[in-house]
Amino acid sequence: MESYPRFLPSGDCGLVVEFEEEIARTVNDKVLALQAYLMQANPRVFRELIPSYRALLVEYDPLYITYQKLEAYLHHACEQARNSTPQPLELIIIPTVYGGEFGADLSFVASYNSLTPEDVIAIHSSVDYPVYMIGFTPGFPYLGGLDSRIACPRRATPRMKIVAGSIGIAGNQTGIYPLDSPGGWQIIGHTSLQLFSPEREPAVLLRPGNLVRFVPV
Amino acid sequence: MSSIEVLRRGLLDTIQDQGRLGYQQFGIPCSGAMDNYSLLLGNSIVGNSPDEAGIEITMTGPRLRFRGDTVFSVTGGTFSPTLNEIQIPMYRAILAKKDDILELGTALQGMRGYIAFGGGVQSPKQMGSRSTYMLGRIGGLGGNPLQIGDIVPLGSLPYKHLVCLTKRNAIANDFIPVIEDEVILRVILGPELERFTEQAVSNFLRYEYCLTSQSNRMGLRLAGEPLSHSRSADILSAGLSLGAVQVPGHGQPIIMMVDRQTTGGYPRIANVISVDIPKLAQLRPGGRMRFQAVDVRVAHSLIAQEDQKIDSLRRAWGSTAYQVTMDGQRFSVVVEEI
Repeated sequence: MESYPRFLPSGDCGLVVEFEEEIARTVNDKVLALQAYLMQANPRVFRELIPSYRALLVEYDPLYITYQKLEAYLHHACEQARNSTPQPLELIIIPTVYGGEFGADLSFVASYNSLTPEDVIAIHSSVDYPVYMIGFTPGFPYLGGLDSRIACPRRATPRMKIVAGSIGIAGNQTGIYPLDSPGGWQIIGHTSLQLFSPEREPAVLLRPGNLVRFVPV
Repeated sequence: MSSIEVLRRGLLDTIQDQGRLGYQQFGIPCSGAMDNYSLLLGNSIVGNSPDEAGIEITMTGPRLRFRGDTVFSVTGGTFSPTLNEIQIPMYRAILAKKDDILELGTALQGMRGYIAFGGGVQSPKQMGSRSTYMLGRIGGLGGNPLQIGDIVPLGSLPYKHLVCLTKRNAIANDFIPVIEDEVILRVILGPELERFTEQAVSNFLRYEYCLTSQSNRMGLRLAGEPLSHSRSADILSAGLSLGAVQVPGHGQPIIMMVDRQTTGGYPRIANVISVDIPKLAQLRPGGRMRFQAVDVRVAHSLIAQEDQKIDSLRRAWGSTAYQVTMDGQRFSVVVEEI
């Protein structure tokens, strides 16, 4: 049995704190609690704090702290953060137009799972999805909790352009494209909310620790 | 305020500084100069603070017209710069007058060059930085590389200050990086070392890898001895550091650079150390590399050495011309020998 948390170098300016290797709210909560503790205790010491499913990447300036000292400090911080009560998740409503021009793969996802398009919409919009992490492109949320009844493989041929705001399914994940980009996800709907807007403060709509609810409009 | 006009584009000319910090948790990469050492050096030569922005050029340089008097320097790859068609040296502060034309050719050595201007490029900052991130359309001028007809705003310095900068001696040769097409890159192994076979780790450190043309500011794709995983080639997506060496299922490494996606799902066999990133930034497709494992402490002492080196340059030169702020007003102070 591995014992967690583990501390590993990620290059010469990064240290990864790893928790149990699984996609689960309980694990992700530890990551977010550690990040929140570090931001409140020492907001200026770290260059970046990048949370993911089960790890926090701490980017630091080695001119100010040695690896050994940082590791010892993070040990202590994990202890402290463990005692904190998890932050309540903030619910974000995503108004969604399912199917039609901006949801071209809705009927494919339905027939693949022997369901009607209406079933897919009902199932997809019935769950609140936790945002485990943001990554890949600006503002892209990694959402947990897709119902396996509407899981569907990626398209064999990726599309050259998927418009920003498209909502898709790939395997057992669901997500929203923040930017126009190529991609192979099965697109089932679209939202007019902007997930990434550089002129807005904050520029990204979602953050780890949010709950996302798709509401058909 | 001074400025320059773009008369001809290079292959990819972008405004870059030392990068955008603190936004990777929201999926926004740090961007910034690929060869940050050359940009730091250029800033030192023209008397700027390290965080000022310059122009990064790639393979082929642009043609630019100065719209006011300024001082500039060209560093990094050898782009044979000319001012009004007369060859000018790199790594020197050069005085440019209104309507002078700066032209940079095709790199004879290296991949990327930097033009630093006295007072820095003064395009608007977005999220704390002027660095251009093309995919997210932020930084630079409207998030884009420079286009023909663009006017790039520059900080302005008093004429006397400019002249003073150009009278300085050339920097010592040991500051100027040697650009090679075969490099040794020092790495810190991991963090997913256990996801590779022992054979893969020893192959990685033994064989030469070649930079392919499918490389850009996001990542550098390598070709060489394939590296096999000990179990699946997927990990739970996690934050990526600059220089991370990811290995997807096909076994060919990808080194993640400044515009990298902030998280990735392939195991990382190693991470290139900070002081060796500029060597990678200057490597051209076809260039070759070998990897050498070092300890974190070794990497840290190299970072400290380089910091002292740049700092000594800045201190030695800062003693002739500097800027002071008094009661919120900025003054240029020039100290001259009498």
